[in-house]
Amino acid sequence: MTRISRQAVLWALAATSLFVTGCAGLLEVEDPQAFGDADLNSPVIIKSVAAGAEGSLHQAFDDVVMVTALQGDEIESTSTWIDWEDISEGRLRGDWATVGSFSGPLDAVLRARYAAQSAADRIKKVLGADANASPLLTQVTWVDGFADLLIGSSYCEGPLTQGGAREPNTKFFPQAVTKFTTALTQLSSIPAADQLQWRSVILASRARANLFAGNFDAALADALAVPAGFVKEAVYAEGAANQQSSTGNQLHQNRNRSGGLRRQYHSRVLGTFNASTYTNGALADWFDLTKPDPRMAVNRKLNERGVNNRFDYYGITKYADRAANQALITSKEMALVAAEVYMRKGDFANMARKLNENRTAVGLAPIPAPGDAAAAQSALLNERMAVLFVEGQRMYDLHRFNLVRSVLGGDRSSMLPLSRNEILANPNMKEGQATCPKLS
Amino acid sequence: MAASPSLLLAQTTGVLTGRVTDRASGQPLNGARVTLQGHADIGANTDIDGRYFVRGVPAGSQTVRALRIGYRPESQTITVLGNDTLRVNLSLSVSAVDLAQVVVTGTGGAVEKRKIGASIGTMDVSAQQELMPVNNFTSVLSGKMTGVRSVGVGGGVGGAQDLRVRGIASFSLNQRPVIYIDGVRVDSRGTEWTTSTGMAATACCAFSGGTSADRLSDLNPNDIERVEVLKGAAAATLYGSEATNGVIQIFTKKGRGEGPIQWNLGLGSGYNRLRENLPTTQFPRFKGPDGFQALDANGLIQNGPYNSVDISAQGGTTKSTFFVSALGSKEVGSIQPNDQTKGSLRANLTFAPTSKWTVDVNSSYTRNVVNEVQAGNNWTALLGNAMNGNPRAATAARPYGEAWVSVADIASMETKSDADRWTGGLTLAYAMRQNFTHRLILGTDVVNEQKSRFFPYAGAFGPAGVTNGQRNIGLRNYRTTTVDYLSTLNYNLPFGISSVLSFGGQGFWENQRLNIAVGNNFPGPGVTTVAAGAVTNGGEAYTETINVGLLAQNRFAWNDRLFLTVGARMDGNSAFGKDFGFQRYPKVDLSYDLSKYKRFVPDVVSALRVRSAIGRAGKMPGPFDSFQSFSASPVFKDVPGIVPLNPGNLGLRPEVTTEKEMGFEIGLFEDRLGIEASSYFSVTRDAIVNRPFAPSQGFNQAQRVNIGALENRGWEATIKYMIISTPTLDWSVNFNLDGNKNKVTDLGGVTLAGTAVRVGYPVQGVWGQKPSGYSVVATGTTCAGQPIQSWGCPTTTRTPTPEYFGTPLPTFNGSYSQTVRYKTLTLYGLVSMERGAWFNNGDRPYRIRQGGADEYLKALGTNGERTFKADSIYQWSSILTHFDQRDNIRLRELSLSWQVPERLSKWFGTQRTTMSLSGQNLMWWDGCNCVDPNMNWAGGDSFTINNGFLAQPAARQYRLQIRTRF
Repeated sequence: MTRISRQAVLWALAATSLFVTGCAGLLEVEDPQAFGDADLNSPVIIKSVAAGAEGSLHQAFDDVVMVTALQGDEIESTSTWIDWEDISEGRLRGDWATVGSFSGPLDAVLRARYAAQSAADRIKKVLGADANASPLLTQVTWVDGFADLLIGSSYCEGPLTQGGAREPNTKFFPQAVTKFTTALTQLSSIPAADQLQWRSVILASRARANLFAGNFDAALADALAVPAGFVKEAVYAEGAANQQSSTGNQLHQNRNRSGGLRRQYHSRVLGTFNASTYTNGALADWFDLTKPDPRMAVNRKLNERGVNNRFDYYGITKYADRAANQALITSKEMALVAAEVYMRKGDFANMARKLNENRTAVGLAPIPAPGDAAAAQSALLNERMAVLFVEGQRMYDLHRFNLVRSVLGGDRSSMLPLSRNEILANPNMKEGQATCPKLS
Repeated sequence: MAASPSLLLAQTTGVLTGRVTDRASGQPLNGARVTLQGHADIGANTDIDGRYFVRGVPAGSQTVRALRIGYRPESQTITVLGNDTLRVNLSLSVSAVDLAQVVVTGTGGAVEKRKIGASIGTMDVSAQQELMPVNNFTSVLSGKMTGVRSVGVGGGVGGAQDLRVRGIASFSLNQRPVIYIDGVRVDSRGTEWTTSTGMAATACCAFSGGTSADRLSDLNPNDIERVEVLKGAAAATLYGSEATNGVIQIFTKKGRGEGPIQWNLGLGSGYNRLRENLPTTQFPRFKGPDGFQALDANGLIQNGPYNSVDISAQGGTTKSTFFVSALGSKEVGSIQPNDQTKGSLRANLTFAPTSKWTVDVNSSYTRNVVNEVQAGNNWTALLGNAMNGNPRAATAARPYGEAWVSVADIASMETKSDADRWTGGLTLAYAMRQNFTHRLILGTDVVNEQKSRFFPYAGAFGPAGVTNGQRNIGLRNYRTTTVDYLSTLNYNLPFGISSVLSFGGQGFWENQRLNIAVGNNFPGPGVTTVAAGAVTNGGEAYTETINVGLLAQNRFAWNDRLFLTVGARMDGNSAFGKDFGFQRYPKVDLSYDLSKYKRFVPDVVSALRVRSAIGRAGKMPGPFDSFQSFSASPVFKDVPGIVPLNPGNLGLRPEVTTEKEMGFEIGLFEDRLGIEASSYFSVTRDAIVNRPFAPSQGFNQAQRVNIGALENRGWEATIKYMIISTPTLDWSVNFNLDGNKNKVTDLGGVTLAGTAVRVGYPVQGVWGQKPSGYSVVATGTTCAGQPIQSWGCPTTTRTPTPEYFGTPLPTFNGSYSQTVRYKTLTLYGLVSMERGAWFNNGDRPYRIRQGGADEYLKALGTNGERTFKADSIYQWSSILTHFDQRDNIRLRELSLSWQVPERLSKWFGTQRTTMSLSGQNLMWWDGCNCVDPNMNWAGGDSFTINNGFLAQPAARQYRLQIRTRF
């Protein structure tokens, strides 16, 4: 070997040695904006893990409200978005889209449920035997159950468990009841102040779940146990995008104006509108069409059309803006739950009494006891629409009372289909096996 | 193994000087490389007067050689005396083949192209700038090089271009080639970064709507001498884990040897103007509710003036040279407000302290301020609001019936990108022995960009989520540091085989910090700071990537005609999963110069080379993609929350592309006609698939897994013909043709949501529902018994699932350029053609749904009343988006330049002076039902390329430039 080649070899060896020794630890970098799995196993951090689960539910809730309101008869699309138009017209695509308004809301609810379940596991792991005394466990167990409740009343099928097979929506309600019952059981172990905070939330949630599950007596008992004035809200804020509500963003006149009051109710609006500014009005009370019902307030600028330039636009003012909180569950709904159970038992007098609790609270005349079952059902549903206006329950009311065709007409679906993201990625699901709704 | 005999040469040296000129015209040739045969380390470039100065020339008989892109090399044997200066003038003939061109990128040291089996594109930017001056680097490449696509996709002045090489080689990763300047890796971002700060969907943060300032627009094209492009994995193997998309290396100008300092002054002026083809010509037919007659959005098109001045100086001594330059320019967009003000300084210094050491120091500073136009998928897109308006909603305040926000309010906004950038490099070259050299490059590129956006208090920006004004400030601090060491050993083997061994290492450290501050809801007009907003918030994102690679290569040459290169690179990278380790990239290529066989090759063939190569290169994952992570996210008001984010993948590794390439070059009629052709087939394995978790299983993000595969198959051909080359008349033509087809071949059994990635179809293939029962009803007063007001009639039906339309990128690109010089006048033109690409023409149905668009308005009745035809168009557009073809023919460049007679130049006290009148993007012909078939809403280096939604088309550019030397 010549001197030159020896030099070359030495240089190569030196360079390699430098590389090998210099690279030890050189390729280590850290992501400063996220936690690793082990980081979360700390009593300090699990509070935020639980908050993350509930926050995820809040983030999902307004989107579910939005799409169910479009699918039902409360609002219709005044936007130029094809997906909104499809949902509004009850046209469900064969390839139900994986993005946008189609699959996103259910994805978010399912993820919130996972976040709650994994948070529960982590709380038990970190706190050990003390977990049952932690209000954090109560919080995430309620989130877990409420996610089921939301899925069951909005989507016609879904996975009952993580990665589970399709199950019809009706199976979600008993599961939610079980989870809420677990949370109530655990409630007695947590501090008194926390018990006070969570008892009504869980009871009210279980009341709705029991009602939808057909456990009418249990629903009535839970509903009556919830004190008047109770409200549990999904919390929104202007500060960051994921804290803003889409109902405020899409339905308010100052924002996108993507959805407005459905046309079939335009003639029921009472109010004096002008072309220069937005003026408030309201739908007439179903019982007295000369009186505005403040629970279904709208606003309007005379001659204004929605963004699609097709329909007159009536904005929804229930949520003043993107930072407006939305009711998840309230004592007003408990009066409706109780009223429905009385109705189902044929006790129309008590039914009217419960409905009138809500009516008189907003200055509307009390209604008399309905004379027959049909009138009772009409009164109940009218009141449910008014009290729960754009709160995500109207679509399911139309479905469970089999009223979709008579109210909205046509061959439209009555519930929302399962997210295709879940279908495509879930190992226990396959495409083309939907049991409901019929897809166009 | 024996040392080269040249080692034994005398120790005394002389100096070589002279001039290199074009043989036909006698014009000096700038940028020609003058070298001594057998002494790769000795040489110099000619200056703008064609002069060169080479010191350290060993005494004795030497062969001096001059090379330049586009010319046949010329050699002359001389005898150099020690301590003497010898003058040698060389004249070069134009050549349609450039096999003698020396390249250095990805080749393990300087080497002639004919010795490399892989495809390397070269471009003499300096000469091109004289012919067709442009002020944006990416425009320089448009239509000039096969396999390289560089087209304007929208965004006005300062906006990004789509720059890519040989199709798409990934399902999800960025597709821009990596850019090096003088050996230093640099920032080339061309998309919005403000959305990457955790503030994506807040009222802020896609500041200009998706199209963004392009960091490649920081470059001063007048500083560039030449560009080398590694087109694929076979050529770019030595660049390792970031080279799948190709590598572009930019070489800036250097100084020259002794002599007076030479100054070069350029003055440019002109204007930009959008083509007036906006589909709003019907608007003035209509009046709004107040009787206001709507305006045509074409009236927003203005002349945007352009002015620039650049000056440079070259000079030096026997031991050092310098090149310094300065540029100042201001360019205004055709849709205003939109302008770019740019200033740059460069100093390139070369020292040769001893005969063995050479030190190059390159330093450039740029300040690039772009007042960006609001465009792209954006509530406040200026042209988007005007083009998509409803004329029947027009008022004095909203004269175009603007879709969301009034043009006047948008014009009152400020959207600015203000970048400071410094790029510096130090190159140490040490010739330990004449045949054993070392080169070390240390360099860094630092970009500090501030983006700001301001919505005034008075504007009505509700749809954009802004109430009572808003201020956004974004800061991007980007830094990449390069270390590159290469050693080259020349040695001879028996049987006439010479050999070059190269080995070394290359690494970079890249980090980027993004910050956003948002102040919303001002108490009143007059305040403009974030802190003045009632609601303030912020976002931050940080990424960091470190890559270290070792490389080795050996090139064997047999009788200077058969060349075999084998090499490999091994990379470690911080973005690889912890369990993965290192990635290896081998390569081998073969080049056979058949023109050496004079007995077998006809006389008419002056050059003939065949080649083939196979090599691998990689594409690293995103910086933190392998980490399992949980996001700290304020999901619950005022309470910190944590949610599952990224499932992570400890085995994550780079995407690896193996490319096979073969081709040939042939020169005919003494290289007056040159044909170069290549065919390639690349397979990308371990392609990263974003495998989603079922939502019920938690994590928000998909898991990145290396389970996919795709392939690119293509061909490239260049035909150059120097038809006439005489002292008074030159006429040359050039055809660049290429085709590419891309196909997903494997997704590892995963069915991905959406249509972007499907097995058997191209990446980002264009899919959509098609009308299945569409018919325009043009007459009658009822439809199926329903009155016209029903909106339900006539009804369009659609296919139940999306169907395939086509590929997002052209499957065929062609360009034809022609240069004719008659005495002092030169006429140059470039026409390009694209075929085969489809896109989602989202604008078209959108503006119909808004109640605007010429095609809808024309279908309305004389007085604007609804007709079945108009309703049909509306119905169709309300349930279907439109997909159109991007096929087009474009007059991309045209220039006429005049070299001012010498006597006239001297009268002004200057030397060579040229004046040129030029135009870019002058005209195009298409059938896209859109404003510009190249538009793309998401910006230049975005992965998404199949949607033209709300993009603003590129303007026509008219320029007058005077360039003189003194």
